[in-house]
Amino acid sequence: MATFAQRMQRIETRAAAFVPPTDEELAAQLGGRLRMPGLVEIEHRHPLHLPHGSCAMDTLCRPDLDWLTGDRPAGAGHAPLVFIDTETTGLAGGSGTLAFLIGIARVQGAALVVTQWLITRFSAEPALLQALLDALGCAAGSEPAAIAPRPELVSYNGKSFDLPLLATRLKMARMGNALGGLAHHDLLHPLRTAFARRWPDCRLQTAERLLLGLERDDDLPGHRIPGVWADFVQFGEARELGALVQHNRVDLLSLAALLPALGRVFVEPGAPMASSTTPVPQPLPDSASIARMQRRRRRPDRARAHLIAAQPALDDRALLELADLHRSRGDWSLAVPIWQRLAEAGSLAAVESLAKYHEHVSRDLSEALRWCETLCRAAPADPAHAGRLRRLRQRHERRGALFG
Amino acid sequence: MENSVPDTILPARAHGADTPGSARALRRRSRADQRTEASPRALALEPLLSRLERRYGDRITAHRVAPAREAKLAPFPADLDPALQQALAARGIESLYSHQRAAWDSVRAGQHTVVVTPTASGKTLCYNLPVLQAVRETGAKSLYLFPTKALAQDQVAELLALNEAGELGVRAFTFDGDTPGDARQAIRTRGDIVVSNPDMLHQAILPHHTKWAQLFENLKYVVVDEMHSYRGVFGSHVANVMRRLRRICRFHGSDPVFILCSATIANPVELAGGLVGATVHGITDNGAPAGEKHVLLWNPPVINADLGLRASSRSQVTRLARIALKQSLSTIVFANSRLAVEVLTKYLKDVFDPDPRLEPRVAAYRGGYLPTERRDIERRLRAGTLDCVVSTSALELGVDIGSLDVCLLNGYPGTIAGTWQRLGRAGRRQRTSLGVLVASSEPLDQYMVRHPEFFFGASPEHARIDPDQLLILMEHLRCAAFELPFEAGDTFGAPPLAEMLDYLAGERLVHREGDRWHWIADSYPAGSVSLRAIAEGNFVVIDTTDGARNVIAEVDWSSAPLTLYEGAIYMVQSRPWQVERLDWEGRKAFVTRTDADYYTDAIDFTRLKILDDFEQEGIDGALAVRGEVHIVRRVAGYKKIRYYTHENIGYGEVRLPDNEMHTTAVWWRLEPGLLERSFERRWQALDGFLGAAHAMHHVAALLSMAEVRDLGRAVGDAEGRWHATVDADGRGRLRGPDDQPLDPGMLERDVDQAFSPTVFLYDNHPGGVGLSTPLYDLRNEVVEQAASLVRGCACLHGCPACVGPILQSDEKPGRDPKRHALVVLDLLGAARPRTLQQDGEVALRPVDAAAAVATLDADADASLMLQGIEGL
Repeated sequence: MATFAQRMQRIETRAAAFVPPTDEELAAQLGGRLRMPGLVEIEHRHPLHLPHGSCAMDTLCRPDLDWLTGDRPAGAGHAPLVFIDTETTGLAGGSGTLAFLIGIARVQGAALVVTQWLITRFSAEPALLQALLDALGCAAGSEPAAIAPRPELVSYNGKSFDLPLLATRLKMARMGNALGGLAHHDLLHPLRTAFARRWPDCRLQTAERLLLGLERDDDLPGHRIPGVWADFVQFGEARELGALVQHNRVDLLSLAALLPALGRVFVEPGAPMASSTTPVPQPLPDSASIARMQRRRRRPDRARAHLIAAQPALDDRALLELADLHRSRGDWSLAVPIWQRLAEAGSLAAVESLAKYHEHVSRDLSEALRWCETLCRAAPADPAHAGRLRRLRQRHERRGALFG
Repeated sequence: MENSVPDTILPARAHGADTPGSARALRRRSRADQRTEASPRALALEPLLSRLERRYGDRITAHRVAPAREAKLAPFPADLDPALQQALAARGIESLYSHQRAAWDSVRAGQHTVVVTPTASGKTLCYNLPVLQAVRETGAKSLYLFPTKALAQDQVAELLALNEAGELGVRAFTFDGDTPGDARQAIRTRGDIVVSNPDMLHQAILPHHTKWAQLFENLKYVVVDEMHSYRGVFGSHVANVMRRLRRICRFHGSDPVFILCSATIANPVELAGGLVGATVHGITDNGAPAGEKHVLLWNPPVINADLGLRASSRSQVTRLARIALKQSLSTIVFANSRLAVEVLTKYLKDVFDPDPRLEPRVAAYRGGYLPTERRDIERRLRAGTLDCVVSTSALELGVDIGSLDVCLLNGYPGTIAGTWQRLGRAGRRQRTSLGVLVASSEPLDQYMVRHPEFFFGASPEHARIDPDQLLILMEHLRCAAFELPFEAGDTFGAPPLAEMLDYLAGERLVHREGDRWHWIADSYPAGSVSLRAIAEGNFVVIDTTDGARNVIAEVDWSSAPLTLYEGAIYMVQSRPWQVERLDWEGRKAFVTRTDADYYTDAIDFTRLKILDDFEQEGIDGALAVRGEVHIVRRVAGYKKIRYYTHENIGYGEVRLPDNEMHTTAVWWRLEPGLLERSFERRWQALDGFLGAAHAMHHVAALLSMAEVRDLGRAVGDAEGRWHATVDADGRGRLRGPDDQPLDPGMLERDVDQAFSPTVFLYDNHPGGVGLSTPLYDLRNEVVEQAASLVRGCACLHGCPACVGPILQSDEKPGRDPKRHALVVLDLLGAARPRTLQQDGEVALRPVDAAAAVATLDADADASLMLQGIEGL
C-alpha cells in the first residue's frame, strides 16, 4: 500500500501534467457559453426533417402520447414535452451521487433544441439545478407556475434514476422539490413491455441499434463517464469532456426519436418504418405483452387494435390474448376459431378455453367433455381440471338420464 | 474454602420483575396466576432447595437470597394525553413504576436519557410513553433501533397493542431487510414511528436521507434499546452511525433526544454518552417489583481425593437440570459454547425425550439455527410447552421467552454482567426462582465459587467502545462524506478532520473545493462497511441425506473453520450430522445424517508476527512492548470424543485456508543473556513462558475487565522462528514457521540463534478494539498478580488453574513447570519499579487476582487438563 505522501505526490504530479482550461475556454471548446461561473450551457439544434439514425423525427412536432398514457387524457398538443437525461458521478444512487450534466431537448419551431448544462465545480450545482427549473418554468421552492401549461418530462429510466436523483440534489441544495409535480413518461417501461422477451437487454443503445437503426461511432462508453468528469474536476483533464457532452446529446436525440418509433410499435405494428433514408424492417414486438399492458390500463380497444394490426405475425401468446379480447366482447365466432387452431397445435390454455366455452356458452356438453378429457390427459396433476371433468361427467349423466 | 452464607441479603440488585407496562407482562401475569395458584409448581422450588441443601450442602459454596421487593409506584404525569392514559387503563395499567416516571420527566425535559433496569421491568413504557405523547401532541416522529430484527418485531407488536387499546391512530412500521420495496415509500413518508436496526440505518437510511426527509425533519426521539449489546467493535461502529445520524438530523433541522435502555453494566451513562456523543442522564433506580430469588454457587464434588480431581461442571448441570425437570420446574441452561449446548441437550434429551413421537420437553437454542426454528422455540417457551432450553448467550438479550423457574449456568460466563443477565432469565414473575452458577475447573470459575463475597459484591463490567479507532472511524467518515459534504470547522470524532479528509482525497474518494469536501467516487461506501464482523459471509449447512437439499443451519464465517471441516460432527438440536464436503468459496457445507456415538472438537493454533512497536519499557533485562501484530489462525485437525466417557477415540486432519488478522498486542520478553543465566535448559524456560502466559492471560482478563476470549494469547519467538501451541493432547508443542512440529531439542542445539521466548496477549478483534492500551498500562500488575497466583496455588508442579497446559515430554527429569513459570514471572516483574504499586491498592478492582487460585485444592490432573481444553 502506498503511503499517503506517495499518493499525494502522484496526484500532484498528475495534476501538474494538465493545464486546466478556464471556464470560458472550456465553454468555447464545447461550443457553448458560460452561463454563470462554473456553469457551461451548450445549445444544439437538430432540424426535424433530418432523421436520427434511420428514424424520422418530423412527427415530434405533433407528438402522439395517446398510446402511452392510459386513462389520463393525453397532454399531447397542449403540454410541451421535455426530454431529459443526466450524467452523474455514479450509478449507486443515494445522497453522494451528483448530476454534473443535465441535458434537455425540446421542440422549438422546426427543430429539436438540445440544451445541456455542465458544471465545472461542485459549488455550481445550485446554478445548474436552477437552470433546469427555469427552463421547465418551475420557480425554485414552489410548485410550477400555473399560467403556462406545465411541461411533461420524457426520460429513459428516469423514474428510477434521474428524477429521484434530481429530487435528492434539490433537497441537498435546499431548493424544494419543484420537479415532483410534473407529469413524467419513462420510455423504458413500454420498451420493456414490447421487447424484453425479444432482445438481449433493454438498454437505450440496444434500442437505438435495433429500433432506430443507429450505430454510434467513437462513443464514450457510459461506464467511463463518472471518471471523465472526476479527472476534469480533480486534475483539469478536459480532453474527453467534449465526447461526454456528445454522448449525452446523442442519448437525448435517441430518446426523442424513440417516442414516435415506439408509438408506431404500439399503434401500427407491422407497418414499414417511416424513414427517409434506409428502410429498416420493423422489429417484431411482443404483442401479447403490449396487449396485456393496454388491458391493465383498461384500454382493451387499443389492445385489440394492436393485435389486429399485428395479426399476421402473432405468436401463440398473442393469439390467445386476441381470442380472449374477442371473448370479453362476446365475439365467439372470432374467438373459437383461434382456440381451435391453437388447441390443435397443442395449446392447453386454448383447450381449457374451449372446454369452458362448450360448457358455459355453446352448452355442448359432449364437446365440453371431450376437450376436458384432453385437458386432463395432458395435465393430470391439476385438481381444477379434474374437478371440471367430474362436474361435466355428472351433468352429462344427468342430462343423459333426462333425455335418455 | 468458603462456608456457605445462607440468607444473606443480596444488595439491591434487581433480578426478575414484572411489568405493569407491557403486553408481555399481562400475558405473563395471567399465566403466572394459573401456575402459582393452581399448580403445585410454585411450591416445588422450596422442597427442591431444601433437598439440594440437604444432599449437596458441601457443593454449595454460597446461598444467597434476594428478598421479594415491592413495586415503587408513581402517578401518571399530569400532562399525559388522556387518550394515552385510557390506553394504559385498557391494558390494566393505573400507575407507573418510579423509573418509568423518572424517565418521562427526564425525557420531557429534553435530556438524553439512559434507563438501566432488568429485562421486562417495564422499560418499553419508558420510551413508548414520551414517543406516543409526542406523536399525539405535535405529530413528531421517532426512530427505534434494536440490535436484531426479532427484538424489533416484539416491540412493534407491543406498541401496536397499546395503539389499538387507546385508538391512538399512531402509525408504527418496521423497516428492515425484509420490508418489501413497495412498502418502503409509505414508511418513509407516513410512519410516525420507524422501527429498524443500526445496520439498516447505516446501509439503507442514512445514505438515502433525502428520501427520509419527512422523518428527519420531524425527528424528536431516537430510541436505542438493548444498549449494552453495543460494545466492543459493534458498539464502536454504532457510535459512529449515531454521529452520522445526528449530522443528518442537523442538516434537516432536527436535534432528537436519545432514549436508551440497557441491562446492568458498570458504566451505562458513560456508554450511552459514548454512543450518543453527548451528556446522557442516567436512571438506574428500578421501581418494578421482584419475586424472591435464590442464587447458589456450586462447586462440583471431588471425585478422586488422591488426585484432587473434581467432577465436570457438565455432569453437575445435567444432574441439576434433571432434578428440576422432574419437579416440573421450567429451566434454562446456559453453556459457554455452541458445542457444549449441543452435548448438554443430548444428555438431557436422552433422559426426557426418549420418544420422538411426543412433543419434546428439551430444546437447544443458539446462534446459527434458522430464524423459524428460533421463533418456534421462543413461542413454545412462552406457551409453557417446553420445559427446558439449553442456550448460548443468544438468549441473554431481551428475546421474549416468558419467565422460567430455574437458571443453571454451566461455567462462569466470563463477565459479572453476563452472569447476572443470564441469571435474570429465571424469576421475572412475582414468584420464587433459583439460579445456580456451576463452576468449571477454569481459574476464574474456581475463584468465583470460592469467593462468593467477591462474586456478589463485584461491579459488573464496563462496556467499552472506541469510536475513534482509526479503521472504524475512517470507514464511517467515508459514509458520512457520501451523505453530506464536509465543511471546514466540522468535526467527526477526535482526530483532526481535515487531515482525515485529505487522506480520503488522496484515495480519490472525496474532492476538496475551497472549504468543502465533496464525495466524488462512483461507489456506495456504506455497502462495503459491515457493523458486525460478518463481512465474509455466512456458511449455510445443507442436509443432503437421501438426495435432499435442505438448509438446516447457518454458521458465521469466523466459527465455520472450527465447526464445518470435513469429517466434523455438526449438531442441531443435538441430532448429529456429518460434514461430507465443505465448499469454502461457495460458503456451503454439505452434511448427511449420522448416528455416530462421538462428537468432534477442532484443534486450532495461532501464529503471530510482530509488525510494529508503538511503545515499550525495558528495565533490568525485562521488556514490555505494545504494538501491532499479525495473527494467523489455523485449524490443524480435530479429535473425536465419545459421548459420556469423553475419551478421545481418534483424530482427523483438516485442510482449510488460514484465518488472518491484524491487531494490537502487549508482549513481554527477557533479555536473552538473562534467560540463559536463569535456566539450565531452553525447554525449561519455554515451559516457564507457557505457564506464565496462561496465568497472565487470566489475570489480564480479570484486571482489564475483558472477557477471556476477548484477549488472545500466544507464546513464540520474537523473530517468528518458532511458536509454541497447545496440541490435541493438551500439551504444548513447538512448531516452526510453517507450523511443522519441531523437537524442543532443536532449541538446545541451535545455540547460535538467540533464544527469546515472548508472551503475547493480543486484542482478539481485527484491528483491535482498544484493549491493548489499558493492558499496557496494567503491564506490571499483570506480571505481579500472575506471579502471586502461581505462587499461591496449592498444587505441586502446576495445574490447569495456574500454569495450564505445558510442553510435551514430561518424562524429562527436572520438569517443574510451576517453578519455571515463577522464575519467568519473577524475572519479568523484578524490573518493575517497586515504589509504584506497593501499597496494596490494586488499580481497578479491590481483588487480589492471585487469591483466585491460591485457594485451589490440588485439582491438578491430566484429565482435568484435557477437560479444560474441551471447553466443556
